[in-house]
Amino acid sequence: MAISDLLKSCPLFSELFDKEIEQVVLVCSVFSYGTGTQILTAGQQGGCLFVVLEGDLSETFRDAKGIVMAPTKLRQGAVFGELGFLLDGKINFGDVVSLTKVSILEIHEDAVFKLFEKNPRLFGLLMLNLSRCLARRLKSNFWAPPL
Amino acid sequence: MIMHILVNVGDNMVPFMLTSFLFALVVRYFTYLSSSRNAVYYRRFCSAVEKLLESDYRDVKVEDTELWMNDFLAKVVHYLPERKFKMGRMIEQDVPDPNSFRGTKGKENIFNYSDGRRSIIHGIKRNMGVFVSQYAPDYSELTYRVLGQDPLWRQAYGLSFDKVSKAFDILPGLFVVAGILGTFIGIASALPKIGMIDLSKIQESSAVLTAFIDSVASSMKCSITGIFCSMSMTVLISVFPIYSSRAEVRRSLQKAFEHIWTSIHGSSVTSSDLKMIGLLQEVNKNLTRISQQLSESEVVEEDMVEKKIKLLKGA
Repeated sequence: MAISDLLKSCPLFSELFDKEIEQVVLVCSVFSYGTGTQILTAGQQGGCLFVVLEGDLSETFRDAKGIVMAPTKLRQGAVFGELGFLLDGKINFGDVVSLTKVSILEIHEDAVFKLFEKNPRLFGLLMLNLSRCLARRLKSNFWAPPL
Repeated sequence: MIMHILVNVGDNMVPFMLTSFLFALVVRYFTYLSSSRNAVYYRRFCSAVEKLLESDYRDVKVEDTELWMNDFLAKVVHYLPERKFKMGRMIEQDVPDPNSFRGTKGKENIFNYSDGRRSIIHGIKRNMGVFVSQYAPDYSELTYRVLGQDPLWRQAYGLSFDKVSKAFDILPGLFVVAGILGTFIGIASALPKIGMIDLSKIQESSAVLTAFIDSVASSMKCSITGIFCSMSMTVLISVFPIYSSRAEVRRSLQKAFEHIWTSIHGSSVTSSDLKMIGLLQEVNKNLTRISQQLSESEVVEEDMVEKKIKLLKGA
């Protein structure tokens, strides 16, 4: 199956042409894990974005007081690891565990930031989509729907 | 001007045809190779499906179709062969990514993941709804859809299989046409030489006649080359077919999909089909009744006619 078909459902690649999607993921790798594998651990080195290609994962965060928040289920097409990718310390904030057999796409920060010079339009679209992903997550976690 | 161009074309027709023939041979060889690899890959899939459904999944009751399919396809993957890609992509796959902190366990290149041996699995998962649905799908349509999502099935070395196949269908005919064209151009360009013959000095015109015969003979070589290329290409296409092997793969895949769907839903008749059968049985019953009534009324009519004839005879 074409890569673009595989990633079209992912919000990170919305509004991108098939060729552009291929350009971004050309140097990326796919990791496959079994059920119950710890994929990301809070406090560990970050610097990568992840896209769920197959399977389900569970992501949990701790709030400022250290209390574990309700886990979020990540399905096919979901993006995670944004905080470790964007923040200066490059440290992961959440714990991600696989609930089924999973395949995840790892996008290293170099693959994205190299686009800034090579293809600014593509870089801008990716950043915009990443911002949208973060905004959606913020909205679903912290804001109630408007009355 | 046009004649000059045509003469040039005619002069170079034989090397042009031979070069085209060689190029076509190379393209055909690589296309056939790629097609054979695809055939092996899909045949392995079909045989793995048959094997697993007849052994591990023989008496397994399917409760959650998606879970069952995911589990089944995960086992099928192990039977599938690796698939080769463009050279550049293979190199990228082999070089470990120095930036990755996740190690190399369970790691693969994105192209290997999407177009590699899991390609058909992705295609099936994309059409999972068809297998979940209790209504039997159009297997031919499903096969076309799944195969259409595989880039290695659609094209070989950047060339579309359909286009290459169509080009090879017309190529033998083109060689013959090119050969005949070269011959006609050669003859047309040689004919004016006859006009230079002085019939009063026929002995001195032997050089002109020889040149004319040489031109005609070399133009005939065009036709011979064209026919040779056409025949060779036709034989090659017949001996190493691409289209028929692809059609065979489609048929096998169709059967495999049918087997999977039947294993999930059983060969039991669906409720809508049962309704349809009931209605058809009712229609059949009514038709039988009507035909009986018609035959009865015919008998009555015959009796009436006989009675009338008797009455008339009596009168």
